[in-house]
Amino acid sequence: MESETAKLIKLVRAMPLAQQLIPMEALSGWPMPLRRGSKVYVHLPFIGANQTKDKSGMALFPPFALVTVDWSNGLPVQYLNLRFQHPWPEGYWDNQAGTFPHPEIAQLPKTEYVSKCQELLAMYDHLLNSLVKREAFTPEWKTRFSESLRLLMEPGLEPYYRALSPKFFQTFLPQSS
Amino acid sequence: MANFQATKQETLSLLKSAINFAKASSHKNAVKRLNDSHQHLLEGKLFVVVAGEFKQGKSSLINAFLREPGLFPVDVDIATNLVSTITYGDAEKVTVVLGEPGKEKRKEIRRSDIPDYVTEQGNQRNSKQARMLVMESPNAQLKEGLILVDTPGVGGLNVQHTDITYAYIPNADSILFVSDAHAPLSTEELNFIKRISQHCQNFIFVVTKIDAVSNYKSIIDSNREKLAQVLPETGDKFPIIPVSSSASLAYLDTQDPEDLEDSNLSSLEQELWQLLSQQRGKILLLRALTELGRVVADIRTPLQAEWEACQQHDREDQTKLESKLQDTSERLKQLQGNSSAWQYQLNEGIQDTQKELFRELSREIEQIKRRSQDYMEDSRFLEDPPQIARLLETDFDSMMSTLSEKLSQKAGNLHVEIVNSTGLNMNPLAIDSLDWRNLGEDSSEVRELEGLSQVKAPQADWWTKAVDMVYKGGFKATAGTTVGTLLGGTLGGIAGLLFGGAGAVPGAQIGMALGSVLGGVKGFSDGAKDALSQIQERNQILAKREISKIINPYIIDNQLLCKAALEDMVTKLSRTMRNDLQQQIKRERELCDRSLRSFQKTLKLSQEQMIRKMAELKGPLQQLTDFQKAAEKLAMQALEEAESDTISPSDPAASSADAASSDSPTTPQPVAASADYGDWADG
Ligand SMILES: Nc1nc2c(ncn2[C@@H]2O[C@H](COP(=O)(O)OP(=O)(O)O)[C@@H](O)[C@H]2O)c(=O)[nH]1
Ligand SMILES: [Mg+2]
Repeated sequence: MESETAKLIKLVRAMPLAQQLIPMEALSGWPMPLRRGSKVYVHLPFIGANQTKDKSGMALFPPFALVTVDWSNGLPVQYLNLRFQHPWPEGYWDNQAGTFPHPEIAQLPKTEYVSKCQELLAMYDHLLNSLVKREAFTPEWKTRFSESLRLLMEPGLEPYYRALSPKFFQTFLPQSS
Repeated sequence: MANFQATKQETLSLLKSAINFAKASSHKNAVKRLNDSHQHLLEGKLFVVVAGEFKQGKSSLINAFLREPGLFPVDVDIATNLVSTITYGDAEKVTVVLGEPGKEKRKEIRRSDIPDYVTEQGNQRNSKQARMLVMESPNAQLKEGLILVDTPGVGGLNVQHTDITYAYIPNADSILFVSDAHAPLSTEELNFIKRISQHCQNFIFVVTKIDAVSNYKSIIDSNREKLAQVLPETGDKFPIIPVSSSASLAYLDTQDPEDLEDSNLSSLEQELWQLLSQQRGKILLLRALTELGRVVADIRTPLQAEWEACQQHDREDQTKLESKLQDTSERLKQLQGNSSAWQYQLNEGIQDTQKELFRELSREIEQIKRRSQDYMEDSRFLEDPPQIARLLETDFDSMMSTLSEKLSQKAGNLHVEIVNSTGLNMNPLAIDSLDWRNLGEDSSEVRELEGLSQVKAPQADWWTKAVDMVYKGGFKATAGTTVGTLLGGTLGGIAGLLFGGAGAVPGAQIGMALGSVLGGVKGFSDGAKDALSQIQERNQILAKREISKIINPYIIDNQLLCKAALEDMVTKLSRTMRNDLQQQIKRERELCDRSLRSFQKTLKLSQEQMIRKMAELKGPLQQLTDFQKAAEKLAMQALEEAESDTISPSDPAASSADAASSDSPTTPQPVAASADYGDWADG
């Protein structure tokens, strides 16, 4: 069963805009929600990726683009070239930011990893739909979501995610300092 | 054929067992021949050329096929500007061929340096003078001998590097023509397809990026309709396969079976292997199996003669068999003579072929001359005179490919005719007794026909087919030899790099001569292009005069070059054919004499010795029979016509899309006053 969020990501990748600007090797990152009035949007980051030399995984680079779409209809509202905009200090571009899979998930069997991803994406459905209806999140649900996001998000990309959506990450992955 | 890869593995292991047997019984010559066969089959290459316009997804498709994202550079703004080949090797090795034609150098580079040479970004206007990229990789997908050729776009836009692309095409074992699902095939693409279809019909049309559009089916319908017009001979039987390289590469990360299914890459692989098996794959297998049959017969026949000698107690039967063998030997001796009928048959056949090819050459040259006049009348070309030389260059190239293809066909037919008329085509796998080798024996039908004695023996249908395919296939120039030499004589090694010990089959010689003539045409064309680019004249009439001063001698030079090359091909070819046939006759005769001697020697044995002899022979004869049976089975397997079903474009997406439905959102929970309403998302 495919979540709405997963479908949305596929849809974004298939848009002519993305076809033109996003190489297919790029990985899509975890979505970040945004609400404006009654409307909910999804920020979708794209991450540069290359097969590692030993072919054991993918070398990850900082996100290079952010596509924002309307959650209600999937239409794009913004394309942000992060290399142009650079929302974080410069000099990071060519440095490898991480590796996929990162150690925590590398040890999972593939099928388990896939089902964990599907679970998190399904939770995103709930998150985004609740934002639309302004329904409250239960603490238990929030804990589950946090744990799942913590596990699946590439640690090396965390600073970039935080720079892109500080409040969202502070809520679910609060920084102690 | 059921499955080329599987049949190939079985054939290789059969060869191995035969080698062990030959070693154990110290048949040195047999060991060598079997080893050679094993090697040839192992190294036999299958050429798959991936062609199509820029940006359609060729490089991505190869990466997906090899399951190696990022192997060939792909990006929105990266354009491949070089022909690259990739083939199996024990370790990864990347070599660029650099320098002017005729003065190429090889340089080993790292994988991460590939973009520096292969892309327009890393190597603008090819300032590095790279001519080709040759890669070896221990990739499992390549293990069965595939050579994949990634080409730059071959549309109207890109004239640079098309020489090498074109050189591959005439003899490619398969052409994957790639276009994407964003648009139906363009007129340019259709023109290209039409042109190359004169040289090679082994097309698979691949429609990529089906993940990106919703209506790829209508694109396929439209492509099918358009292709039916440019390829009228094929009806609408050509395969069109929709794929998504990105889904297939995504699968490598997600391991989500849905991605794999969406990619539809398995349909493409299936279609490709089916095509390859029907063509060169079959020839590779049959060549190995017929050679195995011959070697086994070589060992077996003298043993069989001894066995027969022990069996024939009747004096009359003994003499009858003995004189049969003597007659055969006598007949083979006659075939060895210089005035033997087949020698005339060969000479005349070759001369006729040469005459016919020369006639055709003149006709074609006339056409080219007429076309050059048309070009000179065209004001567009007066703007850009070197373009004329480029167009004529391609005309000469494709003329030579067509002529050499004709030559190989005719030579193949001639060879088969001779082998049939001399009785050299007997099936060595069919021995039950010595009867099969009785050339000129009364059970077969001997006819005197214009001085040629024709022997007709009953033949197994599959054997006749196999012999036919092996001989004719052997004469086909392979893309490999052509390109190897096109890259220049100094690069002799590059051919080796690509083809291993492909062996001195006649086709290799045709390919080599063809390669060198294409190289020569290229040299003349470069000269003409230079000269044409100097023309400053704006006045149309004067400009035309200047252009023809360059173009006319250019055409004459090429004409002489092509004629000399054809002559050279024919001479070399007839020499190889003669040697080949002489060798075969000599081997048969030696075998016959050896068998006769064994027979006579065995007859002299005492009753007791004979009994012991029979006990000795039993095991080896049984073993050899088993080899023959296995070889026969595999040859039939290889010959089996693949089911002629046309591939209907399956819809990889439908099943998964229908099944998908969203999770029903969890029911809202009653909440406390301090509840989280998601204010953190507001912005
Ligand atoms: N969505 C999608 N994009 C693709 C696919 N195959 C290739 N592309 C994209 O198409 C563009 C051109 O691909 P490339 O392989 O370099 O094309 P080539 O010039 O024909 O070798 C690149 O941006 C690829 O990311 C596919 O199956 N799906
Ligand atoms: Mg390319």
